[in-house]
Amino acid sequence: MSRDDSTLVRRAFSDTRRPPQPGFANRVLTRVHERGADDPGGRRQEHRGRLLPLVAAAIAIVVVLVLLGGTGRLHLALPRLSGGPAGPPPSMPPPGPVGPDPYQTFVYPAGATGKGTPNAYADWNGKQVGIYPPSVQPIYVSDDGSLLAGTTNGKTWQIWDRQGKPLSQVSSFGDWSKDGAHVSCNLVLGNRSATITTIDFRDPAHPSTRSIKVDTGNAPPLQRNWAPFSACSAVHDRMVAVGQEVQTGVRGPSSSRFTEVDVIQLSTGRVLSRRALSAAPGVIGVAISPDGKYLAETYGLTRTDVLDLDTGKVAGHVTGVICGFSGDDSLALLGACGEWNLGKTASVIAWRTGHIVWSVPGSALIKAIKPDAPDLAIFFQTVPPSGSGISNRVVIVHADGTTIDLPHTG
Amino acid sequence: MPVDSGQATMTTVPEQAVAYEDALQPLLVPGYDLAFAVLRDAQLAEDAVQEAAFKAWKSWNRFQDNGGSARAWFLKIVLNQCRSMMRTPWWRLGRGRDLVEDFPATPGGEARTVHRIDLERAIRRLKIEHREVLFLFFVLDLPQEEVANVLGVRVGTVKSRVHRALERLRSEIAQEEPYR
Repeated sequence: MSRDDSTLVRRAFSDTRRPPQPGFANRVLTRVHERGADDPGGRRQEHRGRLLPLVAAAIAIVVVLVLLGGTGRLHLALPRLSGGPAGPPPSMPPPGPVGPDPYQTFVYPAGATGKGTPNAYADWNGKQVGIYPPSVQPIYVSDDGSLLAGTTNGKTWQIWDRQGKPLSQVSSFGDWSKDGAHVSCNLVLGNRSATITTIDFRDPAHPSTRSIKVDTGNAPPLQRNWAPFSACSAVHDRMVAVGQEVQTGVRGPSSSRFTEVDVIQLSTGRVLSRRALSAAPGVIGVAISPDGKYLAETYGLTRTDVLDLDTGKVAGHVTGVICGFSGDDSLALLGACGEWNLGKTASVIAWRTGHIVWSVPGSALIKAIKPDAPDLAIFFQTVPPSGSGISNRVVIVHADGTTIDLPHTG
Repeated sequence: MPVDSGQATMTTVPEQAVAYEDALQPLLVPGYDLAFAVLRDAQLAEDAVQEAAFKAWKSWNRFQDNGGSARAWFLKIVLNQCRSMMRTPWWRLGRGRDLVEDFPATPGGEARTVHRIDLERAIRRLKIEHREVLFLFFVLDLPQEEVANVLGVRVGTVKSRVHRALERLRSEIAQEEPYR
């Protein structure tokens, strides 16, 4: 093993390292003492001490029941010994393949620290409706949180309900429609043509799939070498695809740039409008409104143009970066879009007038969009003056600037 | 007698906590880096270290009775925690995420972002056991004996595993960066 080997390995791990969040070590030790008793050895002995009489009593009861005779009677009696079969915690909604009405709830990270667990869902009045079982880690979650999709091989996709119960399997999946509808859209780029596949999960046990070719008319087809990102709205019958081209130089992949934006009618596959972004160099970020009507193009972190994709005209300008729009297109989140070290302020603004509805120091992300309404669920972090003990928060922001804090744990 | 023993307990508890914190404090970031090297997810790595630190606290008395290297002991707990997280059926489902999410482009930094994505892809294609041994041996710079202790294998196994892991990493990086 040479010095080169060591350099190679260190470079690979250090260049891809992501540092822990500030105050990480203090947070870990604080939480250990919050969770654990003061005496590390004592807890176990105390637990054992409590458990032994219970085990002895349980064994005695089982023996008595067996002596009374009949496995049938034993079968009936056993659930009482264990307090009944394991079921969902009291906060869970009634079991069923799909949760409440799609427009009524959304998913948010309910942990005060960390984005992993627990994940909960709430209604738009700020009431926590339920928490996912710990075993259920949302992967691709429908906007209302009631359907989850995931794959182990990229070919077959499994659909689950909130309890982790499998509902159906499909052969393709892109992303959920951004309007709360139980529909997924997928854009597949081929050599000569592109195909949109939509899957309707309104009956999640029997999803119906529909594929349609993208019709660009006389215009050139969508590029095969794109790394596109797209968003669709089944309610508004459109998909917006943003082309992103990776440049390859003599030293391998060197950079990427946005190339064009296509607005496509979902039902017919017809391209309704196309905008070339290569003609506007310096576009570093784009955001699409949930109904696919507006496109925010950001230039150099300072200026964003909002384009009306129906007319192709500029509908407004804002200073800063637009991370996303509200469901009725009236509001937008402005800030560093989750780049936690870059964000100084995050604001919800009425982008047409520039009126600031709500703002918070630091960075923020949109966690959920209420369909066809101005309400947004915003995730952000609060940092105390000491710098340690960062706390995650999710609030619902209304058009008048009032907010509702969502319950969190930990 | 009960009063005496109670007082003794009262005085020893803070000492245990202080000793635990003194031992753990310098190991938390290396533990996080090890967990991140394996799991490739910052939040999961923090969760793994949080859980490992709690387990370390629960078994602190046993560790003190047995003695040994606190570093190897704690890193071993971290690795076991990572492995148990990866055993859950939901783990594999989240692995197909787009890497670009992990490396959001920064203005003027596209080339660096692409380079980092290449390296990340190369690391993710390594077996977990290869990531573990490379990170412990080359990045944390642990002696082979301590690497063997953390991984629960023999020193000879560490040597051969390092050799194979290096070959694999070179090949994966060459595949990602063919012109470099």
